[in-house]
Amino acid sequence: MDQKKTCLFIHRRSPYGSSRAQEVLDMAFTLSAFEHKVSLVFMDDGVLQIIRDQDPSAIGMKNISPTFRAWEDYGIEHIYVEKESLEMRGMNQMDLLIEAEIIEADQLGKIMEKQDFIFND
Amino acid sequence: MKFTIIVNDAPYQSQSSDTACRFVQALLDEGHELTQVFFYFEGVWNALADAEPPQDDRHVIDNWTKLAVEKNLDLVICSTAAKRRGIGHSAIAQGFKIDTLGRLSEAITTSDRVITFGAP
Repeated sequence: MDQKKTCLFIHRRSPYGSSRAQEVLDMAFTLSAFEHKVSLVFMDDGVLQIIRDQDPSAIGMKNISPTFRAWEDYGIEHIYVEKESLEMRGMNQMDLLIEAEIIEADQLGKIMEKQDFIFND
Repeated sequence: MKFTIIVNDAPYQSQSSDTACRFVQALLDEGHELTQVFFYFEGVWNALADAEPPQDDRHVIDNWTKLAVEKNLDLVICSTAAKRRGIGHSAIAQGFKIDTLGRLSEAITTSDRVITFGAP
């Protein structure tokens, strides 16, 4: 069927240590720019991608946080953060660089049911 | 049904690329259509022309090239991911082309299913 799709990107990896987080974001933001209905979930170590005050300059990696500031301009539909993953890392909404919707793990299943395409990373 | 396939692992890094190639063969055999195979992340290494695996091992890249030529497939490696890793037009094998994530977006638009090989 020829139509724009609902796409969910599940980010589970820490932001640095590999280029993976950056490249997954590039993919998500590109699909959104091309008018697919893209939502993002951050869980497990993925919640570290949206922590405030990132400064990876000492390890020579590109800071991924500026990417998130443009999420509304790119037309990203929802940004979800899994509650338990935050709590396990001693974090809360105040630690995040964007205003995200905090969800329980069991809500994730319902969100996934609505998607045409899920990219789990 | 129309499929888009995404390959995220390098050849020999895991079995993902092998499995993706066999999956493509199988879906075509079953009468389905393929819009595109998109190679992203370390998957862009699947397009290297000069790979020479030992003779008693399978040749993952050749398998893709043969399938692409035989079935006239669209094998696309991501330009940004390829540039990051120093893979240019002169390095890539027959059957592959370099294009943007926008091409993946178009393929997803026209597909019923998107299947990803190789991830966490």
